[in-house]
Amino acid sequence: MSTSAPATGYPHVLLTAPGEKPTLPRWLGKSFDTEVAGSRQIGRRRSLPELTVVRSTGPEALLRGGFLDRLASRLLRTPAPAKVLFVFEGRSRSAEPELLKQVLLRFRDRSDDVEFARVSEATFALHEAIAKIWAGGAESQPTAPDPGAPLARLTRELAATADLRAPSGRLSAERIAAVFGLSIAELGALIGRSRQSLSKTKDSASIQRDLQPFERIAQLRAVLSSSDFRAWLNRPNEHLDGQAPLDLVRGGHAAAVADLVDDMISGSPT
Amino acid sequence: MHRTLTRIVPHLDFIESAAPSFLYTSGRPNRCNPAGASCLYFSETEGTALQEYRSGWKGTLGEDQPKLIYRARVRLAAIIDLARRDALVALGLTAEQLSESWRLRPTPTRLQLVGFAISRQRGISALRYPSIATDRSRKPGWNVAMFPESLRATDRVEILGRSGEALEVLPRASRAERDAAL
Repeated sequence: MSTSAPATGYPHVLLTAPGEKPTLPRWLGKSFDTEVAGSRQIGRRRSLPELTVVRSTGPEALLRGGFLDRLASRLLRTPAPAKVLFVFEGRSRSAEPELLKQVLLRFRDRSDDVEFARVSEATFALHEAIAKIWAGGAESQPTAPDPGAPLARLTRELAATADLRAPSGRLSAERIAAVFGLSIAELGALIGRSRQSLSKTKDSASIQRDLQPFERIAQLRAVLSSSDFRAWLNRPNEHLDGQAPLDLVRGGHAAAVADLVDDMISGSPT
Repeated sequence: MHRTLTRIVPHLDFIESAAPSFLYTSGRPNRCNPAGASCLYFSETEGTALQEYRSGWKGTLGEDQPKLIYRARVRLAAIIDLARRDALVALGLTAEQLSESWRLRPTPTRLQLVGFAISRQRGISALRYPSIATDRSRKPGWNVAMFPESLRATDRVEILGRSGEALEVLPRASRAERDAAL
């Protein structure tokens, strides 16, 4: 597997903190290509650079508000190797392991990519994180992915279509219609149901099979943003004889579009 | 055929997880197989695999996103090479039929029917066919469609791991062979 070019120079650094944009600390120096962002700017990013440095007084400050969750979700979308280094600048010389654990748990299976340091050792921790990024980049070059964790993959795929489901866990005609930009009546016509019956029971067991091709198509949102997904649906596609996927869905060919999506996600040559 | 083949997938697909199986076949139709016939698709080179990938994601942000490359080392005793004119003639195929549209057809293409016939025998295990994605950019490239149910006992398809070890292998060991290995 090869993912990204090995790090040959210092990585781009994102400096951030809970709340407003932090100031550039002396220990970070000027030799790095550094971008500074506050908590709100983190929320606008899709992913993180190779190295993110977080200034904080301590783990308690991190666990307040939504900053940590925003940061963790972006790291989960960032290709490895990437690190998040928390530098604690508070007066306390130690940190409760329980609090550090709570911080780590937010990063789920990327907790190995999280580092902690006190400000007195920040420079060393920074260099250590860079070395680990370089080592990780070299390691990932001629390789194939770890074949484990099928449950994690399943979780991700379910997450990509979670908003298509009603609280019952079943696919919801109303939600699918909204994601595809169809009216309930249009969707009903495509699956042979009246608008009235769909409106009455939006997640009926009897329509689940008919809604599955729509769910397969919506899995594209594991890769594309919602707006990119809608644009793709409406753009003529050379793999579909120049027709727009949504036109084909409207024409009763949702399964053919779903097959194309499966091929895109599985990388299968066509 | 004795070489290493390549496939490229969106990296995001693997960031939060990993693939459960690289040799999974869905039975969905593709260029060389109709629905119901199991088939595995790879490209001969990384360049061709990249063209194939980009062709699928063309016009989206997915086109330039991080990608993941995985490789299969294959040793196949007998394949049909559609680069050979005599093979096309013997199978009643024209060059145009190798690149014809198939997704919206109500009936299988001639090439899919050839693939179906291959999937129902044992001995010939793959088709080497031209990549449509690279054809359009005027760079010749080739893909390989392998039929797992047609592999001979001596054939081998290995998905390669980080240090070249086989992560998954076809043909799969029988239950008796697996029990004996324990």
